[in-house]
Amino acid sequence: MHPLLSSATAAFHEEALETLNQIEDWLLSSLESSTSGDAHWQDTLRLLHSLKGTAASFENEAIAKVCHAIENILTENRQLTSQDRDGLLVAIDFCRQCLSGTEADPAIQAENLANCLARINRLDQQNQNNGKPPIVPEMNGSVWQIDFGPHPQFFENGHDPLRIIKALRQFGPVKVSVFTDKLPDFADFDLYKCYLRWQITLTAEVSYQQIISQFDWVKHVCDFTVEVLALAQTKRVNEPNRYKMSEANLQALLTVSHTLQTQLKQTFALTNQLNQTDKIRLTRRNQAMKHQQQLLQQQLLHISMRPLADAFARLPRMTFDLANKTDKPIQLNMDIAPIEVDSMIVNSLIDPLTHLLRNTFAHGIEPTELRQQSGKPVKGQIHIIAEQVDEQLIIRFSDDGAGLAEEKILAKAKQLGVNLQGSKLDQQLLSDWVFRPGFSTAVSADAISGRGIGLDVVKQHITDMGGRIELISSHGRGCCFTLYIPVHQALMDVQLINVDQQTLALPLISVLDSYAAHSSRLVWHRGKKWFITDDNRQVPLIDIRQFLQLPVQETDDQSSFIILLTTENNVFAMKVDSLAEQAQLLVKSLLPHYRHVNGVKGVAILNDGNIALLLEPGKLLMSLTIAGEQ
Amino acid sequence: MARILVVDDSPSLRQMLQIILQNSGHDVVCAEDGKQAIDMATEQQFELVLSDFNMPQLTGPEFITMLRLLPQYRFTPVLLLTTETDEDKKNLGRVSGASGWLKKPFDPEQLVDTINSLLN
Repeated sequence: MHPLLSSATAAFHEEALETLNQIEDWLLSSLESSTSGDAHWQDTLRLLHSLKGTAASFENEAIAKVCHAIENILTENRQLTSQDRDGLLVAIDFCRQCLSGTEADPAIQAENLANCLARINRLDQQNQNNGKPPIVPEMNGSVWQIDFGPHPQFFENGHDPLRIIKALRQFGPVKVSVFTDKLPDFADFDLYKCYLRWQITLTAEVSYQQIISQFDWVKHVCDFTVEVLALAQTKRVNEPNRYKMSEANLQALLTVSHTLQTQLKQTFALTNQLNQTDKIRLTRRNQAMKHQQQLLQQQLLHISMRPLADAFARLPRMTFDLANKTDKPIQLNMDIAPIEVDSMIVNSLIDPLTHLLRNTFAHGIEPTELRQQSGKPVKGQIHIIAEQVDEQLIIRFSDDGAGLAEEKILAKAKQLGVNLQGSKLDQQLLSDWVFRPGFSTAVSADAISGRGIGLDVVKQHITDMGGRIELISSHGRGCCFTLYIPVHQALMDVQLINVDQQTLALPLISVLDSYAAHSSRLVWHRGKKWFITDDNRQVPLIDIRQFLQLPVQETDDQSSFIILLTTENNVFAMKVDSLAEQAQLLVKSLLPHYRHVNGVKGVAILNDGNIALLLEPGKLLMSLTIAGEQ
Repeated sequence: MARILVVDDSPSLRQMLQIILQNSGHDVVCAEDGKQAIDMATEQQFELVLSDFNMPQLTGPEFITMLRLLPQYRFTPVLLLTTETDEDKKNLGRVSGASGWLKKPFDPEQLVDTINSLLN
């Protein structure tokens, strides 16, 4: 590879993984709605096409070929069956694996590629797998069924069926059934011939490749088939960038930066004791150093931020796989605020969220028949809403399942030596119990809800982050877990505005549009000023000067700007002096004693180190409307 | 404990295999090439045979083919020792009647484990 290209390999990996994630998201979402939009279809084709090109440039032939094959299938075949999607998902996993470079043997890699391509190319003609997931060599399963039929001469050359079964048992527990239908009459029995065949059910997270390699030396003297009964969880690779700093490195650097800041302050203080000339010279140098230190701090804080959505990235695929495994169709609805938060928070959230999802599958959502009996939609519903309210991240995780199982909890409590019978059983008491260590009503640990890990672990995770978890359950109607996680800072896309030489920030997500103010779009109505939008709607107009208690100047309508803002349930226009740039800035909350200042959400740290008040459009409108009415 | 025949043209490897296998309680007899090995195998019965792949005169697979012609060695586990692991070589071994192979260099413990599992 050209040296210039190889230096960009890390970037290619990151980009390719991102693209694969997007394609996977599309595949998963197209399961939800049979009429996936044409635009999305086109987008996916475009993504595939560009990944194909990039992969070829980076001499990653395998990925280029797989992309080409998927592209062909999608172009020819607009209606994907769920089985087609399984195949495509497996192909995506294959590409991820290529990127991670875990398979070093080029021969095996080539075989894997050939199998993957064969699998994709068969997609549109061959649907005879009876709904079972297709098999490709690198596929990981958790439950396998192996039919093993040695030929009569199997024992020759020193082979032994028992040895094969023992080798499989090394992967995990096996259930072995023997078939004796080929046994001849006693008179015809040949001691040196093999008449038995076996069916082996293996429960272990191994790959197809690992299983068939056990048959490597006997494949010419036996018949065997390997089928996957349950797929293993495929982990989504989210951090491909090998140059990324570790959490510990980052924390260490932040500490260094902070120490530097403190020491600079001390130097500033000492400077005051010097004579005038030295003081001026030293102060100048100090200022320069302070500026550098601020830049360092800022860059570090940017690095330590990650999109909040990263914590939820694995859930759609997990839902898909768990739904397959448990035969419980489930729709996952997520509404995650587009903010960046401390990457430590994102990392710490992944495990509890994963566990909550598994828990919902195992205990929350009822089997399909039960749901039909109680008149619920067949598809279980899980809603996840994550947003930041003041200095808290609030994550609501709700389902429309059975709610807490009262009898089971009572029985378990009794087993633990506490008789709750007769005491006032309110939901609060029940919820408290499920968070107790060692509490799990699952009869046996199963593959879905995990082995012995209870909700107490989830609670512990959240508590470790300084947060808390609440559970509201309604019998027969579902559960809602609410996680409260404190956040002190976040990255946010903001629109900067200028008013009377002050800079203010608005969350970019609230900004719909902006215009140069023109009197033809402003009207007076019922003693208030209104703004006429592009689609001829009349929306209230407020003046930011009024909020800042600056003199309102009616005359300079022409030279000012109008920003169209949206809040949860309102659209309104705001007049500002001028617009500045849009930027992604570090946002901090105000100290508790400023919290009651209505309409201000926090402060945004500008790139020059100055700060800008971050306005909260919803409350801004409210405070001005109330003030106007008084 | 079992009687094991080791066939290898390299004296050092023969010695190493002998030490490892004797230490794990087996009875080991060594042969320098395939011809000598066939002679030994007809004189006494072995429960397991280890053979090098690349040897002068008879190659490993050629030796195994001849060994399998002896009726008393039809069911005996025979392992090939090899550094090359491509599919063609593997096929050659399979056709000749080898039970499996051990890749060189091997870990002594792994060698003993494999052999014990073959001997049940």
